[in-house]
Amino acid sequence: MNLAEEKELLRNIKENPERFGDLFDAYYKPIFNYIFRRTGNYDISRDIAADTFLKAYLKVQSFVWKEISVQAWLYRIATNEVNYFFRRDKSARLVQETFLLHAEMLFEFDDYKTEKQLLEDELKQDEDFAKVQRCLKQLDIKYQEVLSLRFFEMKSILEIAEILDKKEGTVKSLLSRGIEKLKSLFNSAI
Amino acid sequence: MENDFEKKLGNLKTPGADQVKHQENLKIGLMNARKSSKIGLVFILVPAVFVLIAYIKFQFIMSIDLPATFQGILHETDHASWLRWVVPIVFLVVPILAAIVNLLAVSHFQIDKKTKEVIITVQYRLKNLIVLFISIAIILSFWCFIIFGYVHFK
Repeated sequence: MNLAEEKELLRNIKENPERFGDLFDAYYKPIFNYIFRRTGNYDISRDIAADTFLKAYLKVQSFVWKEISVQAWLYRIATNEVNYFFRRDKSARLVQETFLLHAEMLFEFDDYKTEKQLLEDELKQDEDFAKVQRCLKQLDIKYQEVLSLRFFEMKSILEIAEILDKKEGTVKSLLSRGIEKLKSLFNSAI
Repeated sequence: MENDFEKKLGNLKTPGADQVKHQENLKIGLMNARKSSKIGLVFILVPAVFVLIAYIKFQFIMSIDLPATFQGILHETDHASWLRWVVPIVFLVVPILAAIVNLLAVSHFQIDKKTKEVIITVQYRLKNLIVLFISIAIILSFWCFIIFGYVHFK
């Protein structure tokens, strides 16, 4: 979806909120995949993606078109949600993970099993990615977000700056320091 | 060396779903979230306002200490024909509707044809669940009230 199409869709959503479904259809997959690449957990990604789109749905009426595209705005909400998940104290995260583990029983239908299995298998098969992801999680959130957007989502510096609401220079410097830190963790990891 | 690592990061094969099948299920719930919350709020506000008005009226009469007036009002209210309809509507019909709407908002039914199973899931939506529990509490209280003989329908 290009910027003109996004603008048009946003106008339609403000006239008729039901049209949010079109935005959801267009961007759910990339946002869910982005969250999955950061967390590495199917159930948690599903949960965070649902929160992301619920927040977007409730706030879309007040969205004012400035410099930032709708896609970048959705990435920004998702990034904040993932950061919030990582920043929460460990006990809260453990409760959520345990709850989701047991909640699996509720979702045990064929599509759920297949989808979850496929994604988690793919993650296990690609050892390099799994190792980078493990190391990335040990870094500060500020490095995690720029590195994942740059190398997992292949976003340009400008796009990352838009999503994170930072200056391009700041993004570049965070990237350069982040790569250095990630490299040392990667090399020392087993 | 650092460039090599950067190149390695750039060439990472990233996992991701080509088709996200749970997307449709989530969309249904999401698109109805605001609607069901609003309806639920209206259904819960009506009996709440009614109870509040009754409470304020009762307090006011008690504070000016006019038992005769109070008894007179009670006597009149007891014989008012409209009350026989309004009370069950406010305390029974409206909470039942609120409970049904909110129960439908949080639950999702799916039929698995292969295993011949009906899968029922309940989504965690705090607003809907609160309205649901309050509605059930009002219904149960009202039924207890009737069972213990405080209200008589003619």
